[in-house]
Amino acid sequence: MSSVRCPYCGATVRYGKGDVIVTCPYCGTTIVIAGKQPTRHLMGRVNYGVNEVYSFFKEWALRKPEAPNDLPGRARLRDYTLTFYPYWVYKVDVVFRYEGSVRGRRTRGTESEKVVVSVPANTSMYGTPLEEHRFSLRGKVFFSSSYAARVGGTVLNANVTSDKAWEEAWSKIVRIVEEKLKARGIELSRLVAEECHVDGPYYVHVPIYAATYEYDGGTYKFLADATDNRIIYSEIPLGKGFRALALAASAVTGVVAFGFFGLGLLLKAPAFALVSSPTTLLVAAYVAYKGLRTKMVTTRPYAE
Amino acid sequence: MPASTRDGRVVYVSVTAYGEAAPGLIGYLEQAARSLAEEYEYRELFSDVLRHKILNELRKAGFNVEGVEVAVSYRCPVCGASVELNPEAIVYVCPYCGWSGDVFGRKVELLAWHPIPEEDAVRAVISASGRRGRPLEAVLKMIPYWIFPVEATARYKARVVYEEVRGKRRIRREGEASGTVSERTLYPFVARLNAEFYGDREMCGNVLYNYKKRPPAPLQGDLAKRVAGHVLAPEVDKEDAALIVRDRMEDIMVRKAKSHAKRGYPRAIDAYLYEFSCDVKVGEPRLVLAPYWFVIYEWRGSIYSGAVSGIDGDILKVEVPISPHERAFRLVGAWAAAALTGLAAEFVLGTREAGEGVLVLLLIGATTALGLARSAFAEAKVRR
Repeated sequence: MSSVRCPYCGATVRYGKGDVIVTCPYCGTTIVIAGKQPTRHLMGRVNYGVNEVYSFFKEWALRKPEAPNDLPGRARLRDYTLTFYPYWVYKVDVVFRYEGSVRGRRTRGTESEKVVVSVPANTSMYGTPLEEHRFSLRGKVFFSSSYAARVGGTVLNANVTSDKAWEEAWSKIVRIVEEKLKARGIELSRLVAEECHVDGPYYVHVPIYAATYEYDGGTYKFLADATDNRIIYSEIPLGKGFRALALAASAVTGVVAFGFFGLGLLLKAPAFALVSSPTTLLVAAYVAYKGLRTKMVTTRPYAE
Repeated sequence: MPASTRDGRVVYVSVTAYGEAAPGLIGYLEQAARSLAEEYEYRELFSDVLRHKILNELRKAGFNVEGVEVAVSYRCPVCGASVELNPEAIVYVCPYCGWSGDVFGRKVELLAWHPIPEEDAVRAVISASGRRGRPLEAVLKMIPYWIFPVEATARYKARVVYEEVRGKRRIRREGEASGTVSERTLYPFVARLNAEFYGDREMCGNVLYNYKKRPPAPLQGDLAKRVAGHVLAPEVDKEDAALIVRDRMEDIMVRKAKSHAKRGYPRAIDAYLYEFSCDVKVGEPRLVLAPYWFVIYEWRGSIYSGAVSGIDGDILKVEVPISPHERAFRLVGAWAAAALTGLAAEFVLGTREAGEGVLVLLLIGATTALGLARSAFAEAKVRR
């Protein structure tokens, strides 16, 4: 651990190895250890309590046939953490000039794009559902350490500099434009930014609940955005009855598959035996997969 | 303290100090609240630095205080009520007097439809489900939509890939197409940041249909007070909404241009635009509140949902339970699909012109069998 003196209140602020921005826990001042100063340090407010998010989540989970019917009654919220995760956010207004071809015919033109791009500011978020989490800058207010502490949240520092994040943000913008042009059937040979106006980087902390709940001796997790109640990631237990039924259905389907094979040989119809039997086994495998899973994982938002 | 922030928001700012009471402290805090609001933007009022600034000033003035808290709420410009809103909100309906306007205190004329009664919404869902389900909950939401008048014109040049039939052979060819397509329409846009809700697409269509057929009336009086508690405060302003609408209209015009290009070729497969320019004019929008009912019902221990338009009672989307018999029937269907694929393969391989046809047959057969097996374990049928 290293430490730095807060330029505003004079407090000693400790930070971890690799952190590039730290926030004073006493006065909320943003202290840059490495890289550029952000345009603004903003945060999302906690508009939904964890119990509110948990009720929505259970209601949604129960709509799945695999979920046990007694889930709302027997599931117990075990614990949760509220973490303010850091993101670098850029508002970009860009005009690209492109050249390419459509079915062998040369084409060129300009494509303009106005986008808000966010990039995780801590490498621990990479490869997790938080990496692609989308949110808006609207409603984000100036950062407050005391608010984060009051709502029981911990603040994660950035260990990715804004320069490094900009590289990632820029490749995201290029991908967006490439996909847009590809949808029109254009095979690109050249794509160059002609004009580019960047507003940012905004350093934004987004409050995320990571909750664990118990059901029938097992523990399951879900992640939700505390600002807009969006479920980012969830694990749902599968009912024992449903699983037993699926495994039984799989076994019967397996028997049917062997039946088809035998019937094919009996009737001297080899193609029938070699096609019907594996196709039915495929069905048996799919149904067995349904029965063998103990939980299902979903990253779709609640409302879908 | 009633005040206006530097960015013009009409708010109440209160400053609370913790410590020893002293003469003149309240007056000092009132002055601090007023100057805070006038000097800073709304979003700045939440920062720690401001709290520390006040704390330091109080200490310099000789007050013995340990800490300071700043609270901000909106102030209805008509009745003066304090209204708690999320920082994302930009327009609201005052739950006390029914005034509707933006966070800057400007009147915004909202249009709205009278919501159908709860009993009608529940009845519609239960009837559409075809089961004698037990209603558990019905929630009314007044969903805000920006309705934009839009005019778009696109010019394009395209290469069209099409098929030509010569005897028994099909030959792929390419041709040229160019033209202009235009569209004049109304575009409804949900004025919320988290715009996903059950039946959202269907609701969009319903709002558009009703906006033309039975236009909403200005929201005022008793209706405003009655629905205020159900209003989802708009969070996307018209400028941001217009940008997104313009972008989506461009996508629509790309599809329209492709379809227009294919029209000239009876056996067209696809069209590739190598020149495309689009001009989208977005007019002044109206902000409309559309009533939407979300109903939850129980059937044999499981919970299902339904969404109903509160404008005309139309079913948007309802989950219908799948009975165990139906699930078994679908699984048997998957076996039958596998058997039929085998029979067809036996038949096709017996003829001389098998070729690629067998592979296509196997693919169709396996997809159908898996699709049926998947539907046997689906959560519910969805009826729209």
